[in-house]
Amino acid sequence: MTDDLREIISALFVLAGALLTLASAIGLVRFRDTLSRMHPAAKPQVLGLVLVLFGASVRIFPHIDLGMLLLAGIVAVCTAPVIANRVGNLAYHESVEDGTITHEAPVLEKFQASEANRKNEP
Amino acid sequence: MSLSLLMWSAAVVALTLALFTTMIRLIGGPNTLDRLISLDMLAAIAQCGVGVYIAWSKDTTAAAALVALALVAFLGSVSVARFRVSDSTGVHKEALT
Repeated sequence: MTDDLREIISALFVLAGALLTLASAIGLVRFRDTLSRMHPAAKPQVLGLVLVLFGASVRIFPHIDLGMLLLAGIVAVCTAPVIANRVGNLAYHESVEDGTITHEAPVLEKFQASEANRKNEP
Repeated sequence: MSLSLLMWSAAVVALTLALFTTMIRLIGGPNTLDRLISLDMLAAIAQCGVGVYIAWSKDTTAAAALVALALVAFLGSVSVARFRVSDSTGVHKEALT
């Protein structure tokens, strides 16, 4: 593989990652409440970061600092679900306390009632 | 050669737009959890910027800064989510009213 082709592939991955980061930032502004805003901060942003790191890894391939980029990607993939879990837990409980979202128990009762009706029908 | 330079410039422009778009939510977020998410995303955008710099210049001295940024952002977000006082209850409400 020639050096120019590798540079083009690396630039493509970096550009895709940057566009995904921009899309997650737009989603962070436009979404409705905190529980919705947690989703673009968790998933497309991590994928964008991993794509950027992969593009940089393709560019500097035989170098020893490739392991540092790999470590940064692993740390990002491992820590994003933890932060999303903590923030989502807090946001859910506060929304239930404020009354902005309802508790899931009525939904569960409605689902169980519909399941019972569906079993009784045939 | 020129095409890849154009792509890296477009990536930098997209990251700058994402930075300012995130700052809108950081300033005007109604909740402190929104500001926490915005700060987390700011750290990720900074990591993306360092990654674009590494890919552009083939200079790998900034690769340790990536890991440092990731660890500091994780510790900050988790500790804020752990020791945060809720907006609707606690001392902040008494201080505001």
